[in-house]
Amino acid sequence: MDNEKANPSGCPSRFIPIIVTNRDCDSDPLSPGRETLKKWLGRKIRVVLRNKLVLIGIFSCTDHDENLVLYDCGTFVSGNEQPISVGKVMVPGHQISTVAIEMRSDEKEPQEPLMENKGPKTA
Amino acid sequence: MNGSSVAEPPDFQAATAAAAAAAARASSSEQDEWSASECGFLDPEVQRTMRSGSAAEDITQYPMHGWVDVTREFHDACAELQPGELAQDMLFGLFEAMSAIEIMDPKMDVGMGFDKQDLPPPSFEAAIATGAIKLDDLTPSELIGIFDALFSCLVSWLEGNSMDQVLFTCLYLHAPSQIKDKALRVFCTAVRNLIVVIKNIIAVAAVNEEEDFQLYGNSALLAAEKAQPAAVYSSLKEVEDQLVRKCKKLTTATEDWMAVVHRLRFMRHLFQVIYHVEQMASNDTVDDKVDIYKILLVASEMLPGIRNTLDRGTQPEKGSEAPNPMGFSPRIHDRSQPPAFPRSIKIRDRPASYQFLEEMISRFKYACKVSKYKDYYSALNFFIEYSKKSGQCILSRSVLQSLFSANMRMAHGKLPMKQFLRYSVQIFNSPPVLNAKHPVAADPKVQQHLENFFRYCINMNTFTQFIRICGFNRARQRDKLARLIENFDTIQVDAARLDSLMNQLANERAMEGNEPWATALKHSTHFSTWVLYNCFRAMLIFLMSGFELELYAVHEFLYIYWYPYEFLIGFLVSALTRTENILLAQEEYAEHQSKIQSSAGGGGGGAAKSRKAAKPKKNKKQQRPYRAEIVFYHALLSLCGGMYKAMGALTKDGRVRLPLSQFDNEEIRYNRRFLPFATLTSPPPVSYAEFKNIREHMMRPSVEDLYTYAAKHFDQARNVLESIQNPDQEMLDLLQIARTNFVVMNVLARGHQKEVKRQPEFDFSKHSYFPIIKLK
Repeated sequence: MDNEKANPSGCPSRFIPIIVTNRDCDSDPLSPGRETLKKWLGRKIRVVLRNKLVLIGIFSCTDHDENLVLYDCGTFVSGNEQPISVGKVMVPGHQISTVAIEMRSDEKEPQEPLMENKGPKTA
Repeated sequence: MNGSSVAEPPDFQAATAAAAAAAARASSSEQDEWSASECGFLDPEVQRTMRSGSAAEDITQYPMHGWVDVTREFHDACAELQPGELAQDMLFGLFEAMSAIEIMDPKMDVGMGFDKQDLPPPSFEAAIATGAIKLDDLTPSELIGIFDALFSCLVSWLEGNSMDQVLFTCLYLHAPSQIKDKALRVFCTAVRNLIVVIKNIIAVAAVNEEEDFQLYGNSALLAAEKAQPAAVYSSLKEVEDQLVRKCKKLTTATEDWMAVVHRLRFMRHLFQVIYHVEQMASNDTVDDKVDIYKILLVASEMLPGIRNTLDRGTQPEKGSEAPNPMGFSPRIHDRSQPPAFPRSIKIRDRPASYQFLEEMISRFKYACKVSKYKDYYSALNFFIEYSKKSGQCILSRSVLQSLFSANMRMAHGKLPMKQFLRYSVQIFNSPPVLNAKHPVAADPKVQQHLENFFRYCINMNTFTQFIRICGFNRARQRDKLARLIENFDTIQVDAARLDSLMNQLANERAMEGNEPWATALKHSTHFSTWVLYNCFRAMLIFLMSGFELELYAVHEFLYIYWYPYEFLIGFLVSALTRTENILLAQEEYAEHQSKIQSSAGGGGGGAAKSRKAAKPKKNKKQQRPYRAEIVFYHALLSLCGGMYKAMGALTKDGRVRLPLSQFDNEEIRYNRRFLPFATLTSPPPVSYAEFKNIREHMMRPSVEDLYTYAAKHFDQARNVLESIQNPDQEMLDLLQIARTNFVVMNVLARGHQKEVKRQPEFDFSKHSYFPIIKLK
């Protein structure tokens, strides 16, 4: 029990998000993009669709075509505080306009490989 | 007790087996390990609450830390994934994938319409305030429009849509008592009551599944005004009469008003029937026998007139979702639907709705016939037939269940099930012990055994359940049958025990020198035959329903057709033949007895009555009550044999696509297909090894010979079917299948298209169990 309490701050518990893949080599280190996705999975994500609908939910799954699955997803009409619906949602990639991830202010942005790609960095 | 070393990290416990396995794999290399802090959630607790669904409120709050736009990184990262590769969260599985709603998909996403920045849909009060709906002085054309639209909503509801999203889009239904126009008010009240009554019928019959019918809607909408179904009939009648009187005074537009009257009248009859059925279902005793059939006749006679006047009503506007320009607010309840619910609703158009109602009424009429079937055998046949013809409509299925027996304790509303089963066995193969007039029936030992057996039948629920299963939709029947078949085993054992007890008693009585009793009890297989026969039927339906539901791959057809060919249909035929022989023997014996007794000068009542009880059936069918069924099974047997050998020949000929060997395990598939039969003692399960032997033997001849054998079977089937007098449509269809396949097999036997090894097409459009084999 004490161990558990000590866990979060001290030794990090081993939380292993998985990338299910049909690549041949499981043992290879993940490519930078996959690393990034792995980091984002399970976080809150805000997706704006081409028709200006805003979806906020937990980023659960994506694939090559940028199709997204969001858990506990609220759908918002712009300017409206209340979601018009809540639930699990699959967003087809071609509907997506912009994507934003929730970041803690103290957190480093996506790691090294993508550093040069990325715009403003949160300090 | 070092608990800490045993306890897994809490987040680990939540992981699925797949995740755990992946984790185990990954843990070998250090760099694939991720600490919780690296992965977005500091605390596993947070993660758990997020997933438990309680995060719904959380979502509505804007982020705690601010959004960082990552569109471009996201785009680049996704591009790295291979097609078919998924980047997925730890707790994401197939269930999540399947239950997610595809956004912007018009079929699934109710939110779709909202991007137009529409005004919120008007409520009843708002619509009155803005003058969007009229409460008084509606023109006949407006009334007709609303009535027709409401019928469309009703039909759409019965087709499985949510009540809120179809019926309660009609604002008038929200508060009928505020409507001043009498015709409209009464009609709307009737619809509301109809909803309550229909819901009751379906709930009591309990043959609905979520895909058939949405039992739960926003009941608050209904609760606002109390349902008084008993008053509906008279108020409809009253307003009808008023309108008719009004019509007589009018000189213009009388036809329009009459069209309104006709709709009210149709509603009155429809309501009367449905209300009466509900009364039958909820009360065990129904005092007055309202003749439902007659009312249904009247109702169906009204429909053509109504359909002719469809154009007199206001029509829905082009491009609008509302079924009528006035009184409907299509999206009013979209926001109140539960999260996993949003489906876009398409309300049926008016002609199609009346078509549906017309068909529904004829289905009700058909269902009324169930009262003719007084015993289990014929009632079951009727239910199977009804399900084939009317299996799609939930209300029709529920009505049939209600008409037969609402609660499964009483058959036909008055006969307790146990009595019903007793009577049914008597009708089926007439065991002397069940004949009340036969002296042996009075034996307390016999009575005790019988009582036990029938009580057991009721407790096991097997027979009643079989009838109920026929009320479910076709797809659900299959998995329910699988469970039912397993149930039959214990009943079989019990029936066999009863039969052997009877034989034992026969020996005892023979020892006592009581010859007539001994004869009556001897060689009794009545009960096990009855049970087995019903079990075989369930098995056959189970197996063949896989064709109807398109579950079998073509390369599986071979053993599916083989099983009924080799065993099942043969068993059925022998059970029926044995039953017939028993009946005949008893008939002769009874005649013999009555001769003796009448010559002795009296007291012959028992035997004579027993003949009388079974008389109508026997007279009609020349003492062979199961003749027609046996002949039909012979035809099925030949068809199955033909299909079995045809599949064997086609497989040997290389015309059937087989699964790639690395993905293939036929034994597993075989065992899976016959899984429900595995628990039965009788018939004993046939192992895969046995099947393989039999198939090997069958496949030994040359391909040409195999085709010829198959052709012979089809020819036999054709002969049997042609010999049937007054064949019904099913038999004619089977005949055509047998003929066509006979020709195709002969063509193949002669080496047609020998070079082209294309898989033929199996066309099940004529019959759901047997295809026409088509060469492409």
